[in-house]
Amino acid sequence: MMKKFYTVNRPMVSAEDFDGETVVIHFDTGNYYSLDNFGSLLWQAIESGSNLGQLPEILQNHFPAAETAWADLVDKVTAELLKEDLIRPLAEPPQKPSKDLDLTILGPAPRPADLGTVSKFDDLQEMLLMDPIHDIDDEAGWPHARQ
Amino acid sequence: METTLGTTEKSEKFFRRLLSIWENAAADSEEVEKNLLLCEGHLRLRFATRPLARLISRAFQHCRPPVTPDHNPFTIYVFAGREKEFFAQLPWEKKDFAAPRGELRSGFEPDLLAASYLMEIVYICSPKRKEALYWFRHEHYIPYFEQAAPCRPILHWWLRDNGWLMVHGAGIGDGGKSILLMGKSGSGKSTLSVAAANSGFQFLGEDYCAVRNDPFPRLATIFSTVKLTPESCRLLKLEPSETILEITGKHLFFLSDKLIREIPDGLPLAALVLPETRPQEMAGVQPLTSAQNAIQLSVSSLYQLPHSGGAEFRKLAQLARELPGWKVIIPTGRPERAMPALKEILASAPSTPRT
Repeated sequence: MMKKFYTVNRPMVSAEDFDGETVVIHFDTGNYYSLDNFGSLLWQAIESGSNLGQLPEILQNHFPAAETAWADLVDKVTAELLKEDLIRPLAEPPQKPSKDLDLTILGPAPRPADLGTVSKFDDLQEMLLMDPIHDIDDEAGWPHARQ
Repeated sequence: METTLGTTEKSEKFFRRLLSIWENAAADSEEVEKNLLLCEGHLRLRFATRPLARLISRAFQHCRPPVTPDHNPFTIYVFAGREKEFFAQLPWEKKDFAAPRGELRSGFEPDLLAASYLMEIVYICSPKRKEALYWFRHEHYIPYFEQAAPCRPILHWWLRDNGWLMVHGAGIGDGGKSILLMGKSGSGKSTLSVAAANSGFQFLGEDYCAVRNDPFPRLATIFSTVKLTPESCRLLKLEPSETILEITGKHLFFLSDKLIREIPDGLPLAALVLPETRPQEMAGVQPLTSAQNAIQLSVSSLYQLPHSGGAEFRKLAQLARELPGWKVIIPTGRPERAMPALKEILASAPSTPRT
């Protein structure tokens, strides 16, 4: 079984769970994200130091879909989180005991095909700069625009 | 950027060198001191010059002096100019001044926090010393946002240490309870908050307010200013102010203490409201989920406040879980039609704060 350990990209990334929906903020890029219940479970697994390589088997033991379908879903969402710089891989397992995952978050009969939505929002990126005016003349200063 | 400076001693020396520039500026002019009660704390503003005191303290007209002054209040030293002398002491390169959120990293954190608005304004705070430096490049060109909401990053760091959090939102109150109007710039917060004040609500803030969740959710005023577009001025039948804001063309109003009065310990915060203007006849109300509450409350606030992150998000998320959230649909051009909905939201909230 593959060992796949990840960690949250702190301190620039922070997340909070709201009844099965996780809101993730990336403070450096100005993007924020909403993870559905599967993404929330995956985030929970990463936070708790679980081996994501074991997750498909755990899911298959609890729910009817094939292990390969769960493995594809885990890979897809993990790749999305990596691409967005929200998590990073770890070469070694984290030095903390992993916790049991709360699989009830997925409901009684989850289907992999319906899960794994990572919604990305970039409408507040401009707020990372303290004001919308960036092109101030270096010599003359505020409020003179650069020529 | 060199980050070899890392010890508390070095950060102390660095801060003292900058403070000596303020002392020289004050010695050459006429220092003005203001003592304010803001969000339950004693804030002392020491201006190196009288014009700076006039331009900056207008946003705090609602604040009274503290009844029981703190013998060691948090002090902000305000000064301008002396550019070469000032920049010669700073460890940052030009490119560092364009960092996201204006955040300047020195390696001294958390002993010393710094931010800038490009190279026009620099904010440096030593939480341990309970002191901060607030520098402007030009004494007579104070950017409009700085007149409307002065020393925002410094106040954010100070309030945070006192259990309050600065949030991007407008505040209104009625019947001893308050609502925070959330949302991005342009969502209608300002117009709705002033329309609410015209309809008998208490005005608590237009763009930034302070909130806390301990021992129960509360909202307090920070600045007594309002920025409105000419269109909103017409809509609300307000005489345009003399202060026209650069670039945006908005009008900046400084409210007298008759219109806005500081409630230092804040009003109980009953609900979060997201205004949305739509071309329809009737106002409407829709519930928000906790996650929607959190996004509207946290994201635009945290993206504006340097040196804030997970700890602040956690506190705001707690408020978002605890408080009911509503989207209030405002008919275009008719903000007064949303007033019954706002009254109903406040009336239906529990009147006794949790213990």
